[in-house]
Amino acid sequence: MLEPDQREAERFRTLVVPLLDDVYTFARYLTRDAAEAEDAAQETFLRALRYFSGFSGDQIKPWLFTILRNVLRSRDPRRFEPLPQTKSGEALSVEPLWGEPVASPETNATQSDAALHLRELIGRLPAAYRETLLLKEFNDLSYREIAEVTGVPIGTVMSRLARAREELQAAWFELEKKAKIS
Amino acid sequence: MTCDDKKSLVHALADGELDVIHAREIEAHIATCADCAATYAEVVALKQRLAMPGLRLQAPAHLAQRIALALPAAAPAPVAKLPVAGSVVTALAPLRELRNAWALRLQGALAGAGGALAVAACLAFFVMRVGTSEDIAASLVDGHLRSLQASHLFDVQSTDQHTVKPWFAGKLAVTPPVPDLALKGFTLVGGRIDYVRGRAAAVVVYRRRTHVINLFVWPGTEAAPEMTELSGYFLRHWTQDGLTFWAVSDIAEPELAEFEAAYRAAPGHEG
Repeated sequence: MLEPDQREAERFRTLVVPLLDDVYTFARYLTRDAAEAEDAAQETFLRALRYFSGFSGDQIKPWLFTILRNVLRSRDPRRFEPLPQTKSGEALSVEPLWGEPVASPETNATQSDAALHLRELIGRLPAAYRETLLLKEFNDLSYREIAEVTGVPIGTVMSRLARAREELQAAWFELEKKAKIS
Repeated sequence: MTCDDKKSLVHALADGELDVIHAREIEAHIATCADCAATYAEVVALKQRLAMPGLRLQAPAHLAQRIALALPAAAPAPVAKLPVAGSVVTALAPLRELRNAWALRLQGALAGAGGALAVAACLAFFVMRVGTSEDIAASLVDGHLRSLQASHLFDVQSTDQHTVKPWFAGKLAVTPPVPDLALKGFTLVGGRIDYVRGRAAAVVVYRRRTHVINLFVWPGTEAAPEMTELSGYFLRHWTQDGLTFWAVSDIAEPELAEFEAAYRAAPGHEG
């Protein structure tokens, strides 16, 4: 017989722990800093563990991402503020996004190169667009779930998603064009 | 051009978010509109590109290890069994393991040296912690988070103060004021009964835009800081007419203060 605490821990292990990579990825794209992402992911799991006994719903992911988002916001309250608009075409001054190169044995050089560029471009999207895109494309949350996690109406989710994709697409084309010229 | 309005629906189609009727409608539109067809193709291509390997990252192994360590192991740590205030204390064990490994080492050293004395010291530490406003705040945030999960938000759902207030009257010894604050930008959505550290509390639920404000009310006039921030949530505490009030929300601190002001100034207070 397991103690209630152990049963909860088992449930947590089965349902929440497997989402660590997703949480870390989101934190990493949002913070653009490996150490900060690690801290935020850790804090998220500690909070999740603490609140888990009160959780009885079946949608773990939106719940966990809501906590993650609160963690990220409390660590840097300005994180989700809209960025000041830059003139189109003007290069954004961005700090280096990723500490270490992506080295994955099963991806060939061209593919990981593309992934590296794409990561960089996603990292440059305004935070509000970036998080919406990540919740949809990486985590397959529904519009309604994204609205709940980010605290905005569904219409805003839809327009942010459309803008995120447009900007990413445009930046990607720009990159391809440059690659062809050089 | 009405295509601009349709753009986000084209995205929604690619995301599988449309019901059959709307999906057909947009598909029919795409068949006749080159612009929207191009958008659709772009979105689908981008979605495929975003599925490529190398974009999703792996958490470092040591992070996974630390989280595994934070979970109660097969043999739970002694502190996890203390019969006090449930989740708050049990959660402390892993937290401490993770954050203050030195504390555990110290505890071990003490236990080696002084045995029972050390255990008593630890117990005293925990007993002292229970009952502080910080613990109440933690329970309230727990309650707030619970309420955000589907179907836990209210036992009685109504925007009508004359429905919510009598509902409480039949359930609890205390009936909190339930003013209508819609004009101040806070919409009444319902009420429920929650338990805060083993004690029944009335909870009046308001909304500010999409944010939920849970107002916990119970008899008594306990002292606590006016404003607490915990886990990214704000808690505002006040007492009035022999009742203790705690408003919990993720809205910004000034807005929560505004809520308190609106609530306290509302005429519903006498009724």
